[in-house]
Parts: sequence; C-alpha cells; structure tokens
Amino acid sequence: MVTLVHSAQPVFGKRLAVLITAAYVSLAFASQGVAVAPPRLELVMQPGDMATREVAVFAHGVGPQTIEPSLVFWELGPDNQLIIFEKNVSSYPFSAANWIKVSHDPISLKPDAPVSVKFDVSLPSAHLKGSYWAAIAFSTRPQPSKYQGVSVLVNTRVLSVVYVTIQGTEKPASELQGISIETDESGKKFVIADVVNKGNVYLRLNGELRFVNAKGEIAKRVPLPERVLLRDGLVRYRLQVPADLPEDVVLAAIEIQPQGPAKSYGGPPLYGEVTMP
Amino acid sequence: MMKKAIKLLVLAGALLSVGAMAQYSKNTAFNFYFPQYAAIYTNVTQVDFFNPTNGTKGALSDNNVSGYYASSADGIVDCIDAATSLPSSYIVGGSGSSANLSCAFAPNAVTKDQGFSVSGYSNASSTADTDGELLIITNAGHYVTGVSVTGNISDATINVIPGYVDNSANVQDKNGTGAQNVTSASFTENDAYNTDYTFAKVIPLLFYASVNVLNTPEITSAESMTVTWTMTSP
Repeated sequence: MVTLVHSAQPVFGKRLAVLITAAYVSLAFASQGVAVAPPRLELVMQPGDMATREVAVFAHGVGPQTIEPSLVFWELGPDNQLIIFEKNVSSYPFSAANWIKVSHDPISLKPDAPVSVKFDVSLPSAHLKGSYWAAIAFSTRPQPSKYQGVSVLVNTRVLSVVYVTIQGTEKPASELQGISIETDESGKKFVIADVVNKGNVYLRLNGELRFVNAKGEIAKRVPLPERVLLRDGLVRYRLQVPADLPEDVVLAAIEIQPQGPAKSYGGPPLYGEVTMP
Repeated sequence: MMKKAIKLLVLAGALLSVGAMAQYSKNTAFNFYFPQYAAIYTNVTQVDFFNPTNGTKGALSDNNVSGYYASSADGIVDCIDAATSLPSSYIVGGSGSSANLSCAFAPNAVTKDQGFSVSGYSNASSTADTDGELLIITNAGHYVTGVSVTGNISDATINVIPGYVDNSANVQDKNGTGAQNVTSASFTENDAYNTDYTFAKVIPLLFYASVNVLNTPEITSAESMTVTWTMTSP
C-alpha cells in the first residue's frame, strides 16, 4: 500500500543543475530550507487507474537537514493566499489526498544531494468528474531553541502539488464577474476584476490589462500575473494602474486566457472593460 | 570526396544519436526532464523576544529586561521609556492610554546571518535591520506563500511585517502590507523584493510582539511558537 523510496544519489540533469546553481549563488547565508522538483504534477487519468511518479527533494548549500514528508490539502484565497489543511486531508470535496500513497518516513537530506521520493496515485473506480488535487509537503524541522525565553521558531516547507483530472469529464468554464477601479487612501488607483470558476476543472489564467486612449489606441499593456483558479474558486485581480499612464487614457480593458489541466482547452477568453475615472 | 563527407556526416549523426539515447536513458531512470523547481529558504531559525534571567517570569517593573513595563504614564510614553533597555530602533509602535496600554517590541535577539544579495533592497544598509528573510526561488511562473502556526505565547500577539527597519528607525514595507498577526499572515508576490537572479525573490521579515502590559502577562521562561512558512508554485 505504501510506496516510498528515498534514494540519495546524484539524479540531476545537467541543465537543471546549472539553473539551480546559478540561481542559488546567494544562498551561502541561508540556514535552512528545502526545494522540490517539479513543484506540480498534472495527471489526467481514468477511474481505477494507477500511476507511479517521483519528485526530487533537495537543498542547496544548507544542511544536513531532516525533512518530513506529509500529505496536505490546500486552496487559494481570492487574493492568492495559500491556505493549507493538514488534518483530515481526505475530507474535502475536491481532495485527491486519499489516492496518493507516499512514505511519511523522515528524509535525511544533505546539501546538494537530491533525494528522489516515489509515490503512487491510485484512483478508485467510483464515478468521478473533473479535477481533484492535494500536495506532498516537505518540511524542515525547527531547530532546537537556543534561548531561554519567549521565541518564535521558524520553519520552512515546500509543496509538490498533485492535480488529478478525470479524463473525458472535463468541463472548463469561467466567468468574469465585474471589473471596477478603486482608489486607496494614498491615491493609488487599482483595477479590480473577479473571475469565478463555473466548471469542474482547475484553470490557469494569463492575460493582459490594456489601457486605451480616446482615439481607441492601446496606450499601455500590462501582462497579468499568472493565477490558478480552482474548482469553486474565485480569483481577484488587484492591479495597480501605472503611474506613467498617458492623460488621454479613457478605458481599462482586461482580457484573460484560461487554460485547462495539463495545457488543455480552458474555455473561451474572458473580456471586460471599465471607464477610467 | 563528396561520398566520404556524406559517410562522415552519417557516422557522426549515428554517434550523436547513440550519445543522445544514452543521455536520455540515463535521465529517464529518474525523470529529470521536467524543467521546473521551487524552493524556500530562510536565514532566520529563531526569533527571541524575551530572555529573562534566572528563569524568572516577566515581571512588570521598571527597566525590566523584557523591554516593557507599566507605569501611570500614557501608552506611547511608556513604550518610549521602555526603550531604555532596548535600541530605540526596535520600537515599532505603541498605542493606547494608561487604561489600555499596548506596547510593541521587536526581538532583542535574533539568530540570523547577514542578508542576501538583493537588488531593490539596497537602502537596507549595514545599520538597517530585519529579523531575517525568506528566499523564494522558482522558475515555475508564479508562486504563493502561506503560514501555519503551532503553539502560542500567553498574552502576546506575534506580528510580522514583510519589511525592515531603515537607518532612521522607520519600517520600510515595499507593498504597504503592514503588520499582520503571524497566525494568519499572507504575503503576495508584491511583497517580495527582486534579487540579482530572475527566479529568486526575497521577503524580509520583521517580527514584533504586541503585549498588553496591564494584563500582567505571565511570560514564562520558555514559551515558544513555531511558524512554518510554506511556498509552492501551483
């Protein structure tokens, strides 16, 4: 039932190693941390299917450390807050945690020595539709307290997200539920736009915010930060209006391209516009 | 001549193919063809707020080592007075009246190293301060962070700001997020400072405790809470 496997060995492809080495030069002072590759797996399966996958856990320049694997369920708040559920992880309507079997044995992680962690994903034969998800969490252990007093111990954890979508049942749908402009206390203006998921799969949202002038020309384009819209989820964009916007801009228009699981079709583009105050 | 050249090209192509297959075989033994990774590091493992001598509780007396005390004076004055035992730059706020006094204090000891090399963060000179940083590294397009807390500290709220204290003892907070109770703190990509590396971002951490000093908190010699910062690129 449980699949495991922590094998400490040099498993990196050269390209990945070079990328990571380049990015981590500044890590010399870090005192704890953990990394995972890949950070997400997008599986498309049928009920009753079983798959074995693996992820690499590693830490550059720090350690040795003990890493504790666990299964968690997670969601995203409208403002992109990561909300983690550590207990009863299988009890959530869209949780895939019960299908994922991974060893919870602690991992001894040495600096720059990736460890592979295998896990099984076994779908029940039950009637399932759309997307489900969970994550394998890899946590460092808090270091023993060095002071006698009141203290906060700081710990780090990285998630390898596992999405499971039931093949042939995908119904991607989303809706832009309004676009408006807000001004905060300091006078900064923000374009606010809400997107809700009306389908049964998670969506990856990308797109562009355009500012249009009185002649109908696009005066400025601002790429949207990528967001994930989970089932029953809401994504709220709060995009600051650029300070260098030309004065003749009269309209802000947002266009969003949803993408479905594993780069599949995510439904038609979403469009909305609002008059600039 | 042409035939020889063609033969050489074919041979070279064959050798390259064999080499590529060997490499492919080696890498597929462990699937590292995925190009993405995500990492979170921190250079602070413990933030210490109160270090009583001899294991005594945090008595509310003048110049207490904890850095706070109560008197009949108004709140902010108490907070400033309390700074006699702490560097003034550590005071990050104070409010209330003598009837409802609350002082806020940053740690008096932090386990930390020097900061990371960060661009856009250069105004944090050698005399500016943070309690540490989160270093987020991912090439997976975007990331999110969250926090989980276990344990609590009696009669105190632990707050965190994604910022640092500058040379003038002012808190600099890039996105204006301000202080959040650490139990529900949420940072976005806008809170992070860019670094010299495209995929690496830094979120400075400035902790402080808010204590209701009139509530006579029974701060014991060894109370702690664990804050787990989590990141992922969903």
